[in-house]
Amino acid sequence: ASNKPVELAADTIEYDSVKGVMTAQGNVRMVQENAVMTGTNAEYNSKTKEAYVYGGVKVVQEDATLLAEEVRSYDNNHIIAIGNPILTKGSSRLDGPQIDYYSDKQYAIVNGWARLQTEDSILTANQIESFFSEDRAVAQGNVHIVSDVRKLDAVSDHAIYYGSKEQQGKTILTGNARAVQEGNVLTGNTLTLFMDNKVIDVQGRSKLVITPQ
Amino acid sequence: MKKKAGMILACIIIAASGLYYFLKDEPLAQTPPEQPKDQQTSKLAYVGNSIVEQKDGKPLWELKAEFIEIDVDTKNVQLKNLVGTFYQEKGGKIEITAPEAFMDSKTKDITMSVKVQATASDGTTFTANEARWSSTEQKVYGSGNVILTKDDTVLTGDKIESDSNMEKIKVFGNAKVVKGGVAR
Repeated sequence: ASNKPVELAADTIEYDSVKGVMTAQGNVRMVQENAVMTGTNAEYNSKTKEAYVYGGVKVVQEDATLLAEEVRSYDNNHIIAIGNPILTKGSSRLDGPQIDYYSDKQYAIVNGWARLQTEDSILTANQIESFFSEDRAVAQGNVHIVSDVRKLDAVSDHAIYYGSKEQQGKTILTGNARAVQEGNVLTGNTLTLFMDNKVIDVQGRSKLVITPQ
Repeated sequence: MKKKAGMILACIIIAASGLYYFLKDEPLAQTPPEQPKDQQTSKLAYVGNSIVEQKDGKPLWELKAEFIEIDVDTKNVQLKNLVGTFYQEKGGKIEITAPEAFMDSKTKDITMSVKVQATASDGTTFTANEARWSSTEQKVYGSGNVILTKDDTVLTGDKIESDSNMEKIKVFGNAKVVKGGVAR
């Protein structure tokens, strides 16, 4: 748990030093290390290090920004955001019904119905995990990738997406993988897409249907 | 002879008119005019004394000051260079110093000003431009550059309201709390 100072500013703050609970109202701004949380109301327990901020919440940490109606923070590290949460980091934008974000691991997970938008594609699935420090995302269940730029539409049970430039937009689809690009259909157990170069590798039983242009 | 009598008569007339003139301008000393009631204040002043307020035999506060002035009619007290000891509900006490202080005899509230500095027996410190100790509510109110430091927590703001134990504290206006470090 981080023991760095926590700073809470607002129009009004009530502090119960026995319980260690601070209740803030109006123009709330909470700062710890390089993370800044703003909202209309907040409650912070300095003993359990739990914070609850609500009302148009915005959390900024380095190049990551989280917007939501409600945010709960645990141990000044683990953040749970609900109420149309949107997490943007660099050119990626992650949203869903609830986002769990771990700042120490630079890791986020979205359950229930998740969507990851990058510069040139939209990935949706039942669950998406984002490993920001590795610029990598893992999608589970009803995976669907759409890239208008590449005229690509692919589905699978699972997917791993590599966002770094060196990886050329590499995306590994496994389990009932099916990719349609410019009318050509490719199915197989494992498809590896290099979206930057419009290249698809196939492993295991596969089938390619080419549609003449 | 006749001429002499005339002169005497003239003298008498002159003396009489002078006396009249003199008395007309300088009326006889009368009792001073009645002063309006409110300007009539009689005050008792003490130097280097103290005032104690008790309840059920327990001291609530004790005020020491370099100079104490009591209005005999209203019983309100004006104090200079106050050193006040305020007894907290939980048994501790707070020592508050202030260049100026005023005690309202009806409410027993003590208002302190100019530069108020307080230190509680548990180490909590508190400074403000003005402060008020409410005996009835057992609360401390502060306003103007308020800073309250309790353990590793620093609270600042425009106004503050705290229980006598300085455990439950409300800050109003530009409120800020820094826990575990120095305010930035």
